[in-house]
Amino acid sequence: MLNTSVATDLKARPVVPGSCSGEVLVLNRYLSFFGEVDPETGCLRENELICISGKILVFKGSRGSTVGPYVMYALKKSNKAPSCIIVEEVEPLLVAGCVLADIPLFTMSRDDISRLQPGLVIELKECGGLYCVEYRV
Amino acid sequence: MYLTREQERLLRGDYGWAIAKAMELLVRVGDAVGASELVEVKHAHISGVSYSNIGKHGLDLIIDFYKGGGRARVYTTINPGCIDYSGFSRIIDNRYYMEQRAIDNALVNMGFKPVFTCIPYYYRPPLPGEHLAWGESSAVIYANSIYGAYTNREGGPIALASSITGYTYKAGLHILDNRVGRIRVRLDPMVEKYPVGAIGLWIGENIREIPVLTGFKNMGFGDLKVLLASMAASGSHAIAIIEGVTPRKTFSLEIRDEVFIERGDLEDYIGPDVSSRDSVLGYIGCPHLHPFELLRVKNLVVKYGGVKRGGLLITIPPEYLAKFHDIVFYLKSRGVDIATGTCPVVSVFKQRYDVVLTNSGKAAFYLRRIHGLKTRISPLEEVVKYVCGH
Repeated sequence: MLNTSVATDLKARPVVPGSCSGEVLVLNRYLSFFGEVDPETGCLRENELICISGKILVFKGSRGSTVGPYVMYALKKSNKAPSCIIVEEVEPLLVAGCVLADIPLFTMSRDDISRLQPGLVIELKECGGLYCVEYRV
Repeated sequence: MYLTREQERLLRGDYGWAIAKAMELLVRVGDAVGASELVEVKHAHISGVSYSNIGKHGLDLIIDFYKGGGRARVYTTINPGCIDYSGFSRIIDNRYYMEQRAIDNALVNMGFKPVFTCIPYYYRPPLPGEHLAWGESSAVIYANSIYGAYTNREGGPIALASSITGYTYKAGLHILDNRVGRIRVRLDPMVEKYPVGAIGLWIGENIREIPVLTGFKNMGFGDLKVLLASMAASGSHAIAIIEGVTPRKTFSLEIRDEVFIERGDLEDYIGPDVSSRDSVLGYIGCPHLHPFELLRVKNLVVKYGGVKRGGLLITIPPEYLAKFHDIVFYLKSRGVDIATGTCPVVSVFKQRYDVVLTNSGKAAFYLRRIHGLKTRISPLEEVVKYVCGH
């Protein structure tokens, strides 16, 4: 099986470091884990066809209730957590949720995020303090 | 972030999973917000403990921390849960009794004080400049603004982490240079008669930076508490500088702009008029009543002679049941519904009412959103008068 990587110049800054590879799912908005994500299925409540489990979940930033971290912990417990999360902006509750649930968390600039192709499989590899994005083909 | 050798040992896991996880939480969040070190706290207050809010997953997490060896390292108090501990209330639904008890047991076994109230400063008033790790936005803004203590708005898990490690990350309002009032807020003298809950909602939603409240010092502490709680609900405020109240040397001023609140600004926040056909629930006690407010409610009920239409719900700390039993039982005998250790924001209603009439902007804000209820904000005396005055 072919398993080669194509390096890109896209870079991510680690907030909660860890390994990160999988299919890219881009939600072009802010997300509240409490209320908007079902911790039992790992899918969005408004659209059950969009599931975040095992994906590289990319969104603008988190919003909403302080219950968010508990929902992220629940996702991990029911094995429905995303593989890792990439956002434009971090806020304390998202970091807390990622630490509790052992979900790696990264930030990327808006331009770089817009260049991530939804549906592609990518991997984040450590390179000089930051993480470099590589496409898997 | 700089860590002492003791902190490194905590983080490394020498004292078990719970403490290591808690340290990691503080260090990672601290790094993300640019903190350079941790700071010791004197008092942690744990919010995010109501089963009807955090559900099974929150319960699991709290129990995992308990089983993982987490124990209070500093004085720690607990926020209200979703059940009425007195068993008196006909309005608050105790359907999650067993689940809430499971959360409470884990918290109490971790060494937290079971006060079940959102006014932890009633149990331990903080000192100016003291570092705290408090959840519960209404208590945070009160501690910073009234007592001059130093605390950020900590989410439930972060306050828990601070309690079992004794530290929080030094950023935000833990640093004097960040406690700078920039927007002066004045009240039109006509507005002073308006409910403080609505004024608080307006400030919360319309002012982004730290407000400097000028001409508010003659408000009672009960009104200030409701004002601040309402600001913290509709905005993300954690401090307001109240001239003549906030202790000196716990803030600085760099006034850049001035706003004037007028009557017309507040109409939207007060809510629609109550029609005579509506069934009305009067609600007082968000945040929980301080003893002097409980006395004020009692005197009003004496004046008007008891509940005559709709209902009147008050929420108080469980301890008042014993401490002020004469007042509590008098109110109960006059038809007032009393719930202790909970409030409608974090629990489930058993009875439906068309409108909730309350003095609290915070209660109105959340009851509209969480329970989909119609709400109207009135001054405390008007709320009692509406349900008792006929």
